[in-house]
Amino acid sequence: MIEEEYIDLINKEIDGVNSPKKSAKLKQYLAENPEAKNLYHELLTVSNMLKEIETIEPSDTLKKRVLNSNPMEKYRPEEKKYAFLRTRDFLRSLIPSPISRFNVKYAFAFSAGLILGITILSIFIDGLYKKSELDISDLYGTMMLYGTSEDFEPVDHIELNFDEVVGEINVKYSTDIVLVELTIETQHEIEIVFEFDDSDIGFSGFTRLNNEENNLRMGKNYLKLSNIGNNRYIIVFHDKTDSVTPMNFKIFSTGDLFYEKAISTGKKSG
Amino acid sequence: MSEDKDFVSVRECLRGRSEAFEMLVEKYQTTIFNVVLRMTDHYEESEDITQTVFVKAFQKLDTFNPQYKFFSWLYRIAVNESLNFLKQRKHLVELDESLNLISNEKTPEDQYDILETSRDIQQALMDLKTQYRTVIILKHFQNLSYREISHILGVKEKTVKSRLFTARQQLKNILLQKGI
Repeated sequence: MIEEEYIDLINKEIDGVNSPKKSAKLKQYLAENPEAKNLYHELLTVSNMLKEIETIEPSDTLKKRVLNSNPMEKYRPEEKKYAFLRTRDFLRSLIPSPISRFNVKYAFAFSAGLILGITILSIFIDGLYKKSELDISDLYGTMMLYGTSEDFEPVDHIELNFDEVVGEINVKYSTDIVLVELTIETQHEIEIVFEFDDSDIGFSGFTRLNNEENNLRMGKNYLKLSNIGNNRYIIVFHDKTDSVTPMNFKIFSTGDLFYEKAISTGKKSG
Repeated sequence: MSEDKDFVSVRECLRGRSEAFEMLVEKYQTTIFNVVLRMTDHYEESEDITQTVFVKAFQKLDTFNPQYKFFSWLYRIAVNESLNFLKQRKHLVELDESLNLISNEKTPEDQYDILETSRDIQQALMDLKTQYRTVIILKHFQNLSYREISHILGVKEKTVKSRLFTARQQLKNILLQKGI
C-alpha cells in the first residue's frame, strides 16, 4: 500500500516540481517501499514514452488556409475611416499625386478661411439690416423740399364746434402743394369727405397721426375717411393748374349730411 | 514562450497589420495542430479545427485580455474546439453504428496511421476520458505548468494535479493491458 502523500510526491517528481528536500524524502521512501518504487518507474516510463512521440507537421497549405479564411480587413484602419477622411482621400485622388499633399493642405486652409470670412460678413450684414429696421409706428410728418416750409401760407381755417363734432381744419398752401390739417373729435362714427375737381387738384398723401387703423377711401374726385374719437389727419394735395381750385368739405353722420363747407386751397399769383 | 513578442504581435494585428497575425500563425500552427491531433486522433479534421481556432482567435482578437498569455488563450480555444468536434463525432459514430454503415474508402485516420509511429500510445490516449487526455497532452506534449493548464482549462491547480495523476495512472494501466 502506497501512502497518498507519496503518490503525490511520485507524480511531482516525474513532473520535476519537487523541492530537493521533497525529492530526498521520496528517494528514501522508494528505497524502503518496493511497490512505490515500481509505481514510480512505471509512471516514469509512460512519461518518457510520451516525450518520445514526435511532433506531427501539418500540411504546407494550413497556414495559407488560415490566412485566406481570416477577414484581414477587420482591423485595418481603412474600414473605420470617418467620412471626412474619405472626402479628403477623394479630393486627393483628383489632384496629381506629386503635389497632392501640398495642395490639399493649402486648399483646406483656403476653404476654411473662405467659410470663416463669409460667416463673419453675413453676421455683419445681418447686423446692419437689423439696425436699419427701425420702429416707425410712432413716426409721422410730411416730406417737402428743403427750404419750402417757410413758404407755406395759411389759406383757410375752419372751426368745428358742434355737440357731435369738435375740431378744426387748417389749409396751407405752397408752390403746387395744398396741405390740409384736420383735427376732429366725435362721439360716434362720422364720415368725412373731400370733394375736388381732379383736373385741377390731385391727392398726394395722407397720414393719421394717432396709431389707429386707417380707413381712407379714394375715388377719382373725392377722398373719404371715417372717424370716431379724437384724431388728427394730414392730407396732402397738389395743384395741377394755375387757377384757384376750391374743395368741398363734408361731414356725414349716420348717413346724413351733417356739415358742408367750401375750403380754399390757395390762390395763384397769376 | 516569448509572451512579450506575442503581445506586440497582437497589438500590431489590431492596428491592421496582417503580417503580425501571419507571424502568430507561423509560430503556433504546428503546436495547435498537434494539440488538436492528439485530442482528436484525426489528421485532416485536425487541420480544419486548427484553421477554425485561428479564425476564431482572429475574430475575437480585440477581446483578448493582455493580462493573460496569448498562447494560453489560443490553447483554450483549441481544446474547446477539439472537445466540440469529439462531441459531434461521437454522435455521428453512434449514428453510423446504428445504421451499420461501413466505408471501404481510405479515411484520413488511415492516412494518419501511416504517419504515426507511436500509434499504440495515441490509441491509449484515446481510451482516456477527454478531461484526462487533455491534461496529459498539455502537460507531456506541450510542457505546460500546472498553473498554465489551470488557466487554459479554467479549473484550479489542485484539480489539474488530481486529473493529471489519475490520467497518468490510467494511461499506465491501459499500456500495460496492451502489453506495451
